[in-house]
Amino acid sequence: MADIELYYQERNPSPLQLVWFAFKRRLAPMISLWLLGSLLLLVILAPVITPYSANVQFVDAISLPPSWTHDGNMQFLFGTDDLGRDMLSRLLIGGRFSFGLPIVIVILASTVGIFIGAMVGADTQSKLRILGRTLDRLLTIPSFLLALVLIAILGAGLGNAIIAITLSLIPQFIYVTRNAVYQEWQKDYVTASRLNGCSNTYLMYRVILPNITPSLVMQLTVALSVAIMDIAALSFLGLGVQSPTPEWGSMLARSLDEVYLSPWSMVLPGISLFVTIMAINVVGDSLRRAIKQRMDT
Amino acid sequence: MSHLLEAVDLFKTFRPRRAWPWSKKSVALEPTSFTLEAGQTLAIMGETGSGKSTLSKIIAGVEAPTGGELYLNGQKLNYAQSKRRCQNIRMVFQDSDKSLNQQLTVGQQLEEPLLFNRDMPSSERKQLINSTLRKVGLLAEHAAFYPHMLSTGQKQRVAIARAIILDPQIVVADEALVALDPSVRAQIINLMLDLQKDMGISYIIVTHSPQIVKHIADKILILYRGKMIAFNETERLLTEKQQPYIEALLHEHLTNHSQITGNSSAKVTE
Amino acid sequence: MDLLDIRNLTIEMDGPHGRVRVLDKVSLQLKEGEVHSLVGESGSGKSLLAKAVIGVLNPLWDVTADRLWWNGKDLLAMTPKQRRAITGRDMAMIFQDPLAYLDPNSTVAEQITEAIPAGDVTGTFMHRRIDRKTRVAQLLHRVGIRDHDAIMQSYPYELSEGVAQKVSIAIAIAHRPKLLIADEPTTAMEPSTKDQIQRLLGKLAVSQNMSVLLITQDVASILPATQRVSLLYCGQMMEHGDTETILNRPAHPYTDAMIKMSLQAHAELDPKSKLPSLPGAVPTLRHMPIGCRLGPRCPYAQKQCVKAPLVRHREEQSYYCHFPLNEPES
Repeated sequence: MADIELYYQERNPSPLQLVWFAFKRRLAPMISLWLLGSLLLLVILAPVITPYSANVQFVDAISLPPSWTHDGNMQFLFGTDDLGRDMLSRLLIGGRFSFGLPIVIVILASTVGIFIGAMVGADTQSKLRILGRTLDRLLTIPSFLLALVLIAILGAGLGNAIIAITLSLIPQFIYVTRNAVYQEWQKDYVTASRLNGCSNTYLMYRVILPNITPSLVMQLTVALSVAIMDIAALSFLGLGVQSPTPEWGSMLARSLDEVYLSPWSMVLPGISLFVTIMAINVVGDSLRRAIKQRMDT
Repeated sequence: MSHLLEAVDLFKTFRPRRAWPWSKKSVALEPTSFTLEAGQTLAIMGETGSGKSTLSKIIAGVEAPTGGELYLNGQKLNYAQSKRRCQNIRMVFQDSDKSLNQQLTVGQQLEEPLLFNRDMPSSERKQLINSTLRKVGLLAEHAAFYPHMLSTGQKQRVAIARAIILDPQIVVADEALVALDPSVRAQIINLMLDLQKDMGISYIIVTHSPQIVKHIADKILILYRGKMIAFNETERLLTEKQQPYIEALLHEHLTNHSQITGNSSAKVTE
Repeated sequence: MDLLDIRNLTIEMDGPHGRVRVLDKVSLQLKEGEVHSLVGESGSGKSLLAKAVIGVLNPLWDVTADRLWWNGKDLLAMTPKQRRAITGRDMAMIFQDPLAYLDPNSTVAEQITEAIPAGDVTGTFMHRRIDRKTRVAQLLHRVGIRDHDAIMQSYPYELSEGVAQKVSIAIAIAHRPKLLIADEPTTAMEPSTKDQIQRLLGKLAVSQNMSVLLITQDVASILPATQRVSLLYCGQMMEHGDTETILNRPAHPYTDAMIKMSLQAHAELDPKSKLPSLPGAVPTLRHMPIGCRLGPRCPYAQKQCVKAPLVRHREEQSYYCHFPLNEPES
């Protein structure tokens, strides 16, 4: 290319970059994004930064309130629970299951779901249509119920919970991908690429995939918050993470008995769950808004 | 001598979606035959729903015909021969906005047909893209632009560049001129005429504007409800007496027209 | 008094690249019963002008005007509620793609009935029912649809392009508006349908004593009945005035070019000859030229054109240009 720069603009942002610019300009989503980022970091570093092991019981510090209250102790920043276990350590380690695990689950579910969805959506000879239709029927069952049914078959336990939630999320990804691919496939620019003699793999990865990224990213955020809720709910019911392993949902369930005596043991995991899910929803929502804004201008 | 493109009894029927297998098929295009010579322009005209888009799509290879044959340079062209077709017959779509991929730069989109149809190193590809961009009146710098940064006219030029980059013999333009602004439309028509002169391209244009057809077409093919009712040279269709349907298609607006330009010439001579 | 009196209407918006003036001091007067064509290419702000009149602009945009009067009342000074009352009673709009604006889930009869003002039909329940039905039929007749029974029962997707546009016109005139804004009503249509719609609009303007503001991108598609024409380019008014005068003796180079570029003018040329055209492309919002925005593309432009020209008058036309064409010999 010639070296002369004819226009004064120094870069040609791609449409995806423009979405990012629009996203970046707003405060709340950026705070949420930072929050999620630091949470992820905390969760990864949890074994290193926790002051105590999650299951060590301090007999002399049972049901100690958080450190900022009158009876608190700086040794236990967030206090301890009814067995004398440090709340901060439990929250951080619990975050690995409540926040880290859903991320893994969503990555698994999306890989499988997007792959199958793309195949079904790009299928012009309707060989795979039956598969798509069958999986659509699965969508009529709420994903949590589906996970419960799967657990009823597989039995309780963390591993089974992961399998159950992953499986119950896959139909949604297939549905979203299939519809997006199918819609794009009808458009002129895909036809134009087809007339260029492009191979199907090229069409899928270079032509269609960049154009459906927005809807996929949105589905990812939705799936992530659903996965967090599901794993917390399953653990709350005692079907997911088994005690004494800390998890926000199971911590909530445990705290039910002594909610009047030590409210913090319920409030703290509750707030963590609330903040995480809200941050994810805010990010997802602003992403949708940023995409719409770019489409409008 | 064989014709550049010869269609013999091309037809297309389809069964409505979700219909019973034994229900009657509807006919989109009845058997149609025509020929096209090198360097000439064929206009396909007709009302909405007359099958003109279907015919152009069959020629460009977007859709498969139900039956009939298409001969390119005397050799039979099957629907499945996508390589040979896309090197010789290219298509420009109605809406340049929709026919360009918003997520790829102009250069990447122009590279696409080269990647799959030409065996050339990347430096040569770049050179060809540059020269093609210049041919359609754009700058080499435009290769780095995304479609949303270009104006409608420039997008249409990119679409034409994509069509001619493989040095095709035939370009099919489906309503590519109607919705454009007057100044852009005139520019694009000029560009198409220039390219025809320089590269010897044949055009098959689908349009319902008699003025454009009169200006650029050598032959006109008129469809009525999927049936070809006229195929002749522009001159003869215009001068000879025709059926009312054809007359209406070709001579619409002439009354309106005399009102605008007729008066002006009168005033100028005053 | 003018029905609609716009003086120096300016619309500014904050884009991602700073403040942009999308309409730059545009003036337009519309008399009662007048057919006025507003010609401009895409990006000229012609649809924005229409939106400013009916008051559906993005509220974040800055709309300023020396005057935006409707029947002598200042539209900009009104509360949104007052303004909506006027818009709903006296104005109507039709669009390029009627099928996108008709409700796909109800029949034509239902949609037209909805548009008939409630005060128009009185009497008992049965009376009102019959009355409404006859009124719908009347309206359909008025827009040139004869087999009203069949059309009334059909859903929008069953209609052809032309009939759908006629139905949308019927809906628009149901409450007898004083002004009908037609936003490129015939752009994508084939010639015969286009002709029908144009003739219909001209006829309605006379029979209903309704002003029509026709927005179009081509001088070739202005209505045969048009009394006055305005030409917009990139948010600036180029020329306006009497149709005859403007089409025969354009003062502004842009008008001249638009006439020469119109489809009708092509017929005069030899087949396959070069068509006259303005060089270059319409500038984007980020790169608006200063002064006369036509400047960079204008074949007659000189240094002076970087200053925006003031309005000048010549007989029946007003234009914004330093170097007008077709000056009468003195």
